[in-house]
Amino acid sequence: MNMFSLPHPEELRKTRAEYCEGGVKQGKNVLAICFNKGVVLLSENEHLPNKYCIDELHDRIAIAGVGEQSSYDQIRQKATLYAAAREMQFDPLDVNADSVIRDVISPYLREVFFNPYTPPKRVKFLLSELTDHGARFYEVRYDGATGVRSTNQPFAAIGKDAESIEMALEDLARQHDFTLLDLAQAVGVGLGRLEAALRQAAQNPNAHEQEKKQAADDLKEFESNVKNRYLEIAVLDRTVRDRRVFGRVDAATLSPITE
Amino acid sequence: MANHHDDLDDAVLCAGSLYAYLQRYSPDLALLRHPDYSTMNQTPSLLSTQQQIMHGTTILALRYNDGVVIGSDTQVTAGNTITGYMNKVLDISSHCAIAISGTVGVAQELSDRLRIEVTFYERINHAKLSPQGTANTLGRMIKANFAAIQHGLVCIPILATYDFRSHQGKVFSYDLIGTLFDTDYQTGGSGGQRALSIIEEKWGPDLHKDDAVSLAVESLVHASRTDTATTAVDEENNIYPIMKTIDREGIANVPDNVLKEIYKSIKKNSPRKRKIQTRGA
Repeated sequence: MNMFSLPHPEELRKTRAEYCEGGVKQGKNVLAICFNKGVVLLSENEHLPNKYCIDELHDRIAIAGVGEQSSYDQIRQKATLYAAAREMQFDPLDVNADSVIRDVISPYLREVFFNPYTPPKRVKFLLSELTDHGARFYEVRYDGATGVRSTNQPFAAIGKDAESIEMALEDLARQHDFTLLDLAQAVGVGLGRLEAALRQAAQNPNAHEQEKKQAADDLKEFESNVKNRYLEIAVLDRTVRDRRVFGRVDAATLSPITE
Repeated sequence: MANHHDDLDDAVLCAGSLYAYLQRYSPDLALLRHPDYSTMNQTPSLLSTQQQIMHGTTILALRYNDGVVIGSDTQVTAGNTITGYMNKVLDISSHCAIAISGTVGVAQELSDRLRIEVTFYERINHAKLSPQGTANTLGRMIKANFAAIQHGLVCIPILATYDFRSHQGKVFSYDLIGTLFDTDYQTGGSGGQRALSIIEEKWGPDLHKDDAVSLAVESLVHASRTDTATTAVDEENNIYPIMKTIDREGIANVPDNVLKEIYKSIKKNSPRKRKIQTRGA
């Protein structure tokens, strides 16, 4: 007699995607935009310096995550180790975001996601890579699916409001050249979009009462985090005369943030 | 990559070390596990004469009041040929550098592995690896190289770092099997003993940065006077030693024009080379 049967992969995909999206929704949005020296990544984070959601993966690659902290850290460490081993095998220049995703992050996430005996990882990743002339952004979902942003798109976002943030930035990118912004301006633009997206979610007329309340709380929290400068900001700065271009920016040292 | 069921095992057994991880899962990539050492016994001529293998020579490091100087000459020799000039003081991280003498091939491998390991640690832990931790890692790598030492492939580096806990520079040196010494100053390579005699005479804990650099250059010049494998300064070809200072701010190169000035003042005060009368002359 059949004691139990394994769920069909399609069913598995559906239920688990819902479960994982729930985890991602609990995290803070992360945003990456180009500025005159490279790329700046930012997110609100009140747990610094104990928990990070933006990290250096390799010399020219940054990794950011939204969702469960432990899953993010575990996969980040795997990816970092792989990048270092690859550097040892070949050369620092032979390590790129594409290979790290293809060889480590994506297969691992996919295996865990479709294995009915392991809990899936409730996390989404954003990899930013500084190229010779610009930047490339890669989004990796909990099931291992990868979304590469088009080459000339100077921004990317992950998190529950990613869609509305990216839409707003797309409008902005048509009118302004992001590569003319300095760091403080870019951070200003980024924070402005993050806030606008949260506000939009809080005022969404189609949302349930509970969702609205949650969005309003998120907005309030965001405002207090910005006021206290509980922000995690990191840059990939191509003007640095070092092979490692990743650097953290202390939010408290930035001049008054305005858009 | 390893199966994800082994995650916890990996993390515990390798203690967060890339080097340990590679030793376990990819020994060929880990340091100096050359599979061919056993066959080297059958080709003793190559290794005993050292004809083909490049060697670096005099290196030194010494502490000063709020940092450390690390330097070397730039000459590389193979047998009794000067093969060229290279930088033998290599940056490991923002506040750590090593000077390498001995077999260049081994030294390159050693410094690459150490740099990658230290960088890996910084990325994973959001913190710098402690000076002692860096030194221990390097010691373990030297120890792993012991099989090669028996075949003449020796590399004994000196490690210089800045310690943010005690707010002072640190000099670490090693012996053949990776024993670690925490010292005030150390030299290495074929001209090392000569250089050491000068530093021993003039070093003091309250030395200032400029004096420390002068002392380092002077001892190198002294070593090059008698050691054929060392060329500290070659004014004609504009060759000057590599000198780096490491302090709270990080690593800084001492520029050639400063070294030139120092060399000039040393030359003015130094005795002429001794001449030996032979019986026939």
